[in-house]
Amino acid sequence: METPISVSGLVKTFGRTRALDGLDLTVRAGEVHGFLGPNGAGKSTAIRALLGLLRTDAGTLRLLGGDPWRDAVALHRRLAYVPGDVTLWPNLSGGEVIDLLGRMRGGLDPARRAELLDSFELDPRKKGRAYSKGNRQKVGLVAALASDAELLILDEPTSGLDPLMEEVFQHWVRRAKADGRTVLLSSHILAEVEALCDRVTIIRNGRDVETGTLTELRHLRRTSIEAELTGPVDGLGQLTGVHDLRVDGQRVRFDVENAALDAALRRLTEIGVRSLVSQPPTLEELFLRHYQGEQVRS
Amino acid sequence: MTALTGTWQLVRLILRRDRVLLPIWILLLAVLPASYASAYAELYPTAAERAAYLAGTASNPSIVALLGPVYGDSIGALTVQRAGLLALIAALVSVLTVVRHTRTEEEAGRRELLGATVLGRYAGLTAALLVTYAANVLLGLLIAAGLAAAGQPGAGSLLFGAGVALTGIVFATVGGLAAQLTESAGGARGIGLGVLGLALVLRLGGDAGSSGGTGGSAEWLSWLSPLGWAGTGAGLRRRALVGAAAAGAVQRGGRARRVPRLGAP
Repeated sequence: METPISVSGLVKTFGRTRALDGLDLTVRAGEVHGFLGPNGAGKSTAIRALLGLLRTDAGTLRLLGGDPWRDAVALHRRLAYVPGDVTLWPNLSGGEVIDLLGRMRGGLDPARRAELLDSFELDPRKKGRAYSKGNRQKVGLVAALASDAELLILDEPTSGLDPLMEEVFQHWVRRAKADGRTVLLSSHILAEVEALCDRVTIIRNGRDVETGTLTELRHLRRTSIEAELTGPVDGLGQLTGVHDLRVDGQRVRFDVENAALDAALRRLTEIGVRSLVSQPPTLEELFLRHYQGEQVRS
Repeated sequence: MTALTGTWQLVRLILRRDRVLLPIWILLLAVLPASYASAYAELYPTAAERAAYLAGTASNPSIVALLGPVYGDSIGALTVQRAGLLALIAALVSVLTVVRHTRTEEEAGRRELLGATVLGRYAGLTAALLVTYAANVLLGLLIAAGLAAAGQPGAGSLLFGAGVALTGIVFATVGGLAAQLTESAGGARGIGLGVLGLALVLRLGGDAGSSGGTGGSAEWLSWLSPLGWAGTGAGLRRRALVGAAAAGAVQRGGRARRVPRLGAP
């Protein structure tokens, strides 16, 4: 089976800015591939290049066995795309847009369309100007997921969706995978990628910094802990897997690798906990720490 | 030819989006000439009254500058002068319509949504031009039908309708070209309206300097302006045909220069 997406050494410059700077990306058939990076890392530029919406300066680019720029029309029959910011026509209803995109892609499955509208709780009769940001994203998602495209290219598709709808989205992506479709999911939310993706490519400053399965990228999975303790703070800094420990009287703040979470929490409860907040670190924080050593292009 | 794939779908989309706007401007502009004709017939029913109007008002240089030259004292000639502004309005609407369905779509990000579907690179511009051309043709036919129904000679009515339609078509093409020259909708509108303004100034200068279409020294200026081509219709058929040929040439030139732009930041 052909490799749906294969990119190597891709370069795209806008004036002086190198938006893509030697990107490699391989998406295998039938997988959900996470394309993870902070805002401005070059995810959308790479996706536009894959869609043949812009020309690149160097590198090779293969999409479904063809050339994304030259064969755009033929290739687009086989893929569906959802941008991170779906804009609609003010006086066309959501249903009209879904059908328009379906027609222009060569048809959509009416039963699946109805099911999608139902599960995303989207009213297709409203006009484009009346939809919220989240509902506009839903219009794009329903149109893409109702198509029979073998490749789904989703560029931060859940921006503006509430957590409940995020669940619905994840359900449909799993279903697409079960149907044998390939998904490229760009995101800056680690948790979303963790929940869905088989493999992940991490992009930063226009270049891939890591690719692998989630197990291989486990060192990225950390939790930020902020706690107020009842006793004097000691013995935390010595634990392996605890990073960036900051102590301010009886308050502590640190990041811990998930493998060391249990040990760290035991130590906290031994000291005595008055309050505790834990949250996944933002991708930006993670990147800042994890790739601090690498040279940062301005 | 894959570059045009999806054009028909986009034509349908434009018609659906402009289902209110398009009929409104076509009908508004279409009924005016016939209404002028019946108004003149009521106001100046005799040839003597019309001759007086022609000598007094219609050939006043400022009126000629504003509306265009007048070629005689028939109701048809007076109507054509009065309706001279319609060609300007058709030109204006045509520029704005083409830009709105090309660059504005791109700026809003909607073209990207469609660009990822089965859509050729020339489809967007082609669809916008097709719809605007068709709207102008329809406008021209309605104008001709209205004038004929108001009792004007059929050939002259058709020529005047064709003049307005061709002016609109030329400026639709200007709008299409302007959209290729700049990345922003505002820039494209600026270029298109700038060309229109220049055409208007040329026509004003030419008509004001040629004392009422009788062939004065500055008449050639009017011929440099597409806006000068339309008004000549009912007055002098030969000139209208030259005008039509010139309009056709501009349009062909515009088509040859059609370059796609997709993507870029």
